Amino acid sequence: MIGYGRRLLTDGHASCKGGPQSWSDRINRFIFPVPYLTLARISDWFRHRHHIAGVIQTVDVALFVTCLTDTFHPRVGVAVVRVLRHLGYRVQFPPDQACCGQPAYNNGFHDEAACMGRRFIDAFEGYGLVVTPSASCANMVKHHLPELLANDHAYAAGARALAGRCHEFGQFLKDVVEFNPAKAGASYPHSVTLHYSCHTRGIATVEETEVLVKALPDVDYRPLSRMGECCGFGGAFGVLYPQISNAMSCDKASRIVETGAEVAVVNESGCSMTIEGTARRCAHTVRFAHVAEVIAESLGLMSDYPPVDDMAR
Amino acid sequence: MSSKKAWFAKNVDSALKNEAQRVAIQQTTAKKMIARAEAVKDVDRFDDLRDLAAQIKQHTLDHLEVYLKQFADQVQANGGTVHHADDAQSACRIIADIARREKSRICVKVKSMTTEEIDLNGVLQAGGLDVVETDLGEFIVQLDDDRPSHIVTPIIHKNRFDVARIFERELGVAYTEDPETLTMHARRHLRDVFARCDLGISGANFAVAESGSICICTNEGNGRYCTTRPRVHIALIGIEKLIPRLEHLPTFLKVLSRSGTGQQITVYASLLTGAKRVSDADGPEHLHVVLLDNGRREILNSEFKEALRCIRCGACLNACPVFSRIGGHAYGGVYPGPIGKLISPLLMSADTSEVFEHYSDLPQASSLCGMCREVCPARIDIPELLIRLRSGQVGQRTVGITRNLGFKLAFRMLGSSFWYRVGQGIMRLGLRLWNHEGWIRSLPWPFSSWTMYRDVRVPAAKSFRRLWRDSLSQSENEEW
Ligand code: SF4
Repeated sequence: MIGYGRRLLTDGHASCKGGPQSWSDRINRFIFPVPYLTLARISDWFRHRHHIAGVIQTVDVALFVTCLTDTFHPRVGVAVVRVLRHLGYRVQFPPDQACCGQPAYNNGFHDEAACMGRRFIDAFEGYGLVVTPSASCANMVKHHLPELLANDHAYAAGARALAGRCHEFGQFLKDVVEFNPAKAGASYPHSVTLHYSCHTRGIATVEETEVLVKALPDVDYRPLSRMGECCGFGGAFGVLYPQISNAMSCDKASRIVETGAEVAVVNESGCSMTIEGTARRCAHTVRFAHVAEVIAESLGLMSDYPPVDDMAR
Repeated sequence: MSSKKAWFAKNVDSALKNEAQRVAIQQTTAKKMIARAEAVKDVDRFDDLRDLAAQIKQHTLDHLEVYLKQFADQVQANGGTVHHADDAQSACRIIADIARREKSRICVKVKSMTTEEIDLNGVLQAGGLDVVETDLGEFIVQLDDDRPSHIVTPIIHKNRFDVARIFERELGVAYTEDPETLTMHARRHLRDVFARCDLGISGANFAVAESGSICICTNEGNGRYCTTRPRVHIALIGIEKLIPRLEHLPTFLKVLSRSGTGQQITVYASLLTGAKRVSDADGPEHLHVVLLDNGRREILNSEFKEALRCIRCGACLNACPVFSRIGGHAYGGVYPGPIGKLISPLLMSADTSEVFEHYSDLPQASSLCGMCREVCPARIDIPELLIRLRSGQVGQRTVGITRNLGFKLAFRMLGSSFWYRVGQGIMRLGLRLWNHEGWIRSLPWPFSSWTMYRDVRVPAAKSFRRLWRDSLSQSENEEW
């Protein structure tokens, strides 16, 4: 495994924890001109080879956890990491990541959004595929950042490249991994319904997301009427126009309750906060889960981390 | 919230309290959406058809002056007269002048949002003319002295009990809720008017440049009556209604009715070309075409140009979760719903900054869910345009100083991983003060508006970042 450039430098290499332009990186490049070989490289190579021989090829995936998941639903992040590892990916967490700029962009603060976008691109510079459990953030990275930074010479190319590398979790499983829950030995003996987050539409189709949930062995899938209708979150909208927003979330929550499902799969932290909060206020106790959690559970990866642990830990 | 803008909050408030209206609107829009989903199935690749429609419209807008001239020339060649109106006032004046010159007394109207836009009825009635709406929905609106709340289904906010009461009160007929009987009452009333009318006013769904033809789509056939029976026909046409050639028309007829009402085609699609010729059995002796600008050219030269591709099918209204909750009147303009949020402020050619201030709630009151974009046959990216309007508001500082500064500060913090972590920490500590078994039931301003209706989760004890640092990243090393 003789590497050109940056990608190999990042994985497992102790001396280059900083960003792509960090001094350790530069010195490393200077000392070991490309192509370079180091002891770490060589041992790395053996490890990779070993694994390639064992069927799966290792690919690095960087997790973009998103602000809301990071703060309110860390279990979703954990589930994503475990599922990806289970599938043979090596997961990295770019430590400098913050917000992708979506809230600023949606509220019309485009200068701020561009600023956030640049930092975001910096944070993911040098990593391979990027996976995120949020469709709206993926949508921001895939569609809006490249537009926003199109005239920024230093970042336009980076934004486009990142857009190409970034995947929403569900869509990643379907398109990139071609994940088949039955073959993977999953089992999910619960009744489940699905709310389809609005921004998933720009990323994947309704059917694709539904297929993933339906395909879980032993699942009792209860289709939600008007699945694709907005839950009323909409970022600042939910705070600025609480009455309209609430009229929407109440309908959504009651339709979810009507299905009688134990688990409502909601693929977006924002939606889940909104609907779950509304359902709570009306004393409904449906469990809300991200599709990553459901899949991780179906593969038996979350036994040490029950759902309530988020708040108790 | 300043008093200037409070109208929207008030409208929303009363709309949400009006349970009957909300049910009526939600039922009808849901029905239309189902009908649409069915109707698009029988066209191969409906989405391609939408692309085509959008492209034709875009092309026309890109060369609008050329096509306008061609259209005007053709209308004149066919014996019609063409007038150009820069704004609502001049359009009203032109039409009122024609009516006076022709000594018209009774005017019948085809449903037209463009005439609503310039408030034509009011002006004509003030001039002593008897104006009668002949579309059943608009007729009921007129009887009730109401305003249309939907661009295709003007009485979407009324149920049949309302209609029954209106008929009983205004037409003096016996109270009945039977739709058929009610329709017959309206029909009898309108027949009488049709027999006596001498002026017909219509809009146009499409105007064909190559032939100077006007296409009017209706479901009741009233369009034909209004444009052939009276001696004079005036068509008020927004300049964006043009399409280049007749061969483009089928594409639009296919997408218009499927998107808006879920019909394969509207029951009537009348194509009117010129005034009555000697050899014709019927038709108006005089045809006047009024081409209306009223702010459209300004939109044409702005970043909102694609909004002019709209063919007023109403699909975005039916699809919109906000519209179906608050109804059309809440939007405060002539055009409600997602497309109204865009063009209501844009079409007011008066002092723009004041208009934007007045309508400043409209671009904000959207969750940007994108359902409108999903169904729009002209492929208008309404959410994106709303974001552009918002960005304009930020630029013009019409968002309010607290919100402006608060947002700016928050975004600066969110963008940097250091300040993000600091903010996250403060927020976790702060929110945990209100912790009630893992949930928060109420928060102080400005988050109180969130907790007014729903609970909030308490932030996790350890953020994902912490978990990663503490255990997750290591477990990877072990595995490998
Ligand atoms: S914006 Fe699109 S969906 Fe809405 S009325 Fe116009 S053409 Fe129809």
